[in-house]
Amino acid sequence: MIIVNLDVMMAKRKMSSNELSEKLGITPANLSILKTNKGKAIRFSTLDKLCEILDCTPQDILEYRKEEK
Amino acid sequence: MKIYGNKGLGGFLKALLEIVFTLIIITMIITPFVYRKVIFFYPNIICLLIIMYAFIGLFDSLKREEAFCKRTIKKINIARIASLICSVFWIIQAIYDIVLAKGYIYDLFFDVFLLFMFVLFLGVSIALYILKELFIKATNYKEENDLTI
Repeated sequence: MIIVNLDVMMAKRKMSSNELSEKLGITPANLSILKTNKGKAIRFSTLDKLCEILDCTPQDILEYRKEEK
Repeated sequence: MKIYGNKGLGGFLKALLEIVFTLIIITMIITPFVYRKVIFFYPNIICLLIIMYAFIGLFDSLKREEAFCKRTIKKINIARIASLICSVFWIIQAIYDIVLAKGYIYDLFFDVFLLFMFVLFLGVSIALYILKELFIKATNYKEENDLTI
């Protein structure tokens, strides 16, 4: 299971959801989908832009966790 | 030609179907007083009305630009089941007239018509099943696309 740790990076960079969504060029609703792990996929272009804005690597945002069956 | 939206083909077909739907109901109420035998086909006409109602909902989805959603799949499924039931009614009526009534109620030409209507509605039911499966796939793709950030 892929976990999106966007909240953590946003807190580290002291960035609000509205500010990030504006810089990213997506709606706050779509950003919320990403933050709450409801998204099905993320485009490489979006991931690239996220890393640029938050000055981090994909590893800082995306985490793999084994699902407990 | 525009399909989606208020001024699209979907909206026009929805309005047309609504008018025909109302006219059929009025005709169903008035006709038995003039020609009683038509009551024999009322189960078929009710099924047809259900199919029309489902398609009104479907064209409404086109009008509101929400074609690929669970509501549309539900409407297609309702139309499919109603079509299947209607085909059963046609075959029962054909068998009754050919075998039991021995052509007493209707002539041979009309018996052929009954069999043709059975095949037609069975075909429509199968076609709607295929359409339903296609819409399920399309809705899943759309959902995946909507949830791709």
